[in-house]
Amino acid sequence: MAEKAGSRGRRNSILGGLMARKYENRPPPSSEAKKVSNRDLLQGVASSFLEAAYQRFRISKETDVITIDDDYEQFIQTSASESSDGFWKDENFRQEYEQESSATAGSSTPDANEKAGIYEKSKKTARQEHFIDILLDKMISTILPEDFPEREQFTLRVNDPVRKKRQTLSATIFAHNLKVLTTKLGILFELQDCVIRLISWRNPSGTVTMLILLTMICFNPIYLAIIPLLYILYGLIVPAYIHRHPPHRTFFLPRHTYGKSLIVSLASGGKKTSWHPSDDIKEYDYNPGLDQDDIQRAHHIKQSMEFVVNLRDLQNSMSAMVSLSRSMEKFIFGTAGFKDEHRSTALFLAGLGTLLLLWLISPLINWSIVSSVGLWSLMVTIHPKIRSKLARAVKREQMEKGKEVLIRAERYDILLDEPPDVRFIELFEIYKRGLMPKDWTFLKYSSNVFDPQDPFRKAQTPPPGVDTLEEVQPPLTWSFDNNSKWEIDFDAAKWSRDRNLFHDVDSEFLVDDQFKRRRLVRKVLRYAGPARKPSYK
Amino acid sequence: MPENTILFRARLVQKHGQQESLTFTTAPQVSWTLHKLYPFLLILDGFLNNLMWCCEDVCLPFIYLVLMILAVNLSTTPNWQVGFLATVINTWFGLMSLALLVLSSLYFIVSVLRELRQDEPPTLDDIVVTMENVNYKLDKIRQDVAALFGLQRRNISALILVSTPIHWAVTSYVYSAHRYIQCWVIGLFVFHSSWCQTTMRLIWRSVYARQLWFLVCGRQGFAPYSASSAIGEGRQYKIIKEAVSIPVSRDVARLPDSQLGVQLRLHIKNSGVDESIDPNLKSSESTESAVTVMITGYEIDENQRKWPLDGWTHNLLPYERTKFTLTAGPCWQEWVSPWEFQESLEKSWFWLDDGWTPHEWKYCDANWVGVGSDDSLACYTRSKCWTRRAFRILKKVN
Repeated sequence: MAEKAGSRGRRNSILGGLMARKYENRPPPSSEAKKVSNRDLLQGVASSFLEAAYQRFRISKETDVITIDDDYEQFIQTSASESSDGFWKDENFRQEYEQESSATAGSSTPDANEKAGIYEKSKKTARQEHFIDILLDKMISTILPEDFPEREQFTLRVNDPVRKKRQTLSATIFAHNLKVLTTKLGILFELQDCVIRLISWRNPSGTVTMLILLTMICFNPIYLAIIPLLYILYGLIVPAYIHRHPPHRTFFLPRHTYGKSLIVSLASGGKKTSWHPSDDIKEYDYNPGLDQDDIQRAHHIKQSMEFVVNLRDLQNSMSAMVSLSRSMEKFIFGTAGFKDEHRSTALFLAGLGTLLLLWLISPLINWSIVSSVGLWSLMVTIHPKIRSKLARAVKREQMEKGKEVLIRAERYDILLDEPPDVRFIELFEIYKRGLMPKDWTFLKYSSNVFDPQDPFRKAQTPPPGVDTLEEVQPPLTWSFDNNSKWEIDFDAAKWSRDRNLFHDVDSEFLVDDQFKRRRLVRKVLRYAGPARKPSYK
Repeated sequence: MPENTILFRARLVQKHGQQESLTFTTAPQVSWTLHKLYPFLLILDGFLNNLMWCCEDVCLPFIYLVLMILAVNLSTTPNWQVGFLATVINTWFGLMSLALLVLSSLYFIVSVLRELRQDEPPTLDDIVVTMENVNYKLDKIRQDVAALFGLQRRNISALILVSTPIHWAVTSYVYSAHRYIQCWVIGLFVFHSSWCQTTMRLIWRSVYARQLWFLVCGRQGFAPYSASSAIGEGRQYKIIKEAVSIPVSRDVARLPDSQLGVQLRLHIKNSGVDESIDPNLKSSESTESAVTVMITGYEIDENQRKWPLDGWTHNLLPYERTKFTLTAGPCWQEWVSPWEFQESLEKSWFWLDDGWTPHEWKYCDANWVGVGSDDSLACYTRSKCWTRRAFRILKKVN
């Protein structure tokens, strides 16, 4: 064990050094790690990999293929062992816990043995995190190249003391958190379903209640604070009290209910799918008559089923998030990003108009009435029965006509006639000296001055360029101005001085011992720069 | 050839920042003066940064703006009926903001001076760069104002003179004075920010906004021809020859005007207008009589605008030139098409040319300022001139 701990410690320090070297640019804390050469580092990483792989192999031999149920059970066991702070123990029934614990301590029942075995197993599996974590670290360090363009920003984020205090990235912690969340997300998904039910009028009385509450908030915003307090008092605290101290006011449930509510039958938007509040409060069963094991098993099956369902819901909501982020991206970089200038301008002008209008008329409007009427009418219009009728009333052709008008407005009411960006491009027309002093032969049109310091000239190769001006292309996103031609820059003294070149000037040419060149300039135009793009595109 | 497959793209001209050091080429007196000027330049630069909202911390100008608005509240006449407490609070906030504003500007100035003293003295290049910076910002501010009002220097005093009574009227009847000042403070302080400028540029893309603007300021370059100096005193034509005396035989001269016109037309076409006919020489010959005519040229411009999807069409904007115009420089006047116009020529006029001669398209920018004879990205409008000469019989000499 001691050996293991030692090797682990070494590994950690090597890894720490690696990570520090990779992302943090700060000297590693230990002087030992400082001396680690690249070769040592490589060996250390490789040995840690081998070790991790070996451990993983040993554990996998011990454990069978893990099913979701096993996984869940294992998690329950670990979480039970972790939460040994007695939070869930009922202080009114302390005597029972004490009895139970003394019994388990006294007799080594097979059940307890089994439990201990599982716990041991889970402790062992906890070790497999090394492998995953190492893999992750390795992945990060290979993903991040030395010349990472945003490396500085990344380093800043890594060095941020607030972030440093938090947990480091670990696949196991991530998976653990996911597990815990998944078991507890049931409430959240229930809430989501509840909201959908309210909006789609499948629970009409609930919808009307919600509207009434929202109207109250509209007229007096302090209800925004009062209603949650009311919920805590009467939705959580009072039911908990009733649960513990039943007021014995329960009546016999009738076998069949007669009669219907007018509101419900008038406003129902669909079948109210069976909705039972999730059984997330575990009843403490004091009934000694039933078989404890059976109850426990039934409970476990139910819990693991819920776990799977929650996992599916989580996945679905993540898919929804992905598609939402995609459409957000489309809006930010497309519609609002001047990708289509007509549309973005129209959007901006419409927004500005609305803004000004609201600003001007807002003091004259009773916003309480407007917002509550708006809410009610919105909810009424999205009622399934009314919505279909409305859709029939608003004809498809009319919609298309409206769309056409919109496109026409975008086409003719928005003018994109700003003067374009004007820049100049330059070329050097290079001539090579012949045998006679006045004998010059044309070499190339190039962007390089091709002075004696030019790398191409040092390599004794012609500079990159073309033989005719027609082959020259404008820079990307720019286009030539058809009304301008290539012009010779006659001020050779100035442009050579700007480039720190000091050679002889012969009219518009700059002459050195082998070559002479003159500068050509032409106007290029660009209406707009390229639109913004997300960094990952 | 591998070079042909790869497109060769020329490089944009970069501004070469490496200039020769000015230290040794500048007279010491100039350097000394510039050195003395440096703190003022820095302070002015800081002020301009706030005015253009281009400082590092954008929240600061906003806070200054709020402080200014609060300080303007001081100008309200205390109204004790509204409430003693409200007035006291208002005044207190106003005074405090005013004090904070004054103190913060003083603090800035003092800190600039102190840091200059503590740091090593600036090089001449530093000073010149700051000066260029200040100059650039001032120029931008001037451009912003000029783009909105098209102001020339001489117009400014006229504008102040005209706007004073308007201000007085507004403050007396429409708005309270301090509210009016507040609006102006906000407007002036925000106007040079890039947000405000961008917003205005985007608004300018809307046809309706332009229409509204030209409704207030008058149509672009529109001038009824009587007022337009270039087109001339009520004339729609260009005079090519004021008076040309053409020798004709007596018989011809006696013909009625309509037939005489046909004869003259043939004569002028054959002999050419440019061929100078000396009136004295010809009229001395007694056997023939002479007719004096005025030769003019009609020039009608056909105008088009480029639309992103449709290309060049006659679909023009409501405030600009119409499809056919008589144009003289920036001034224009709506006109009918050449073919419609040729029917409506007065009786005493005769066409000299057989038909209208089209010229090349002249490509212009959005404001009908010529760019060149080729279509390019900078061209949004174009116009083509149709010309035809005509003449009119001024007098007949027997």
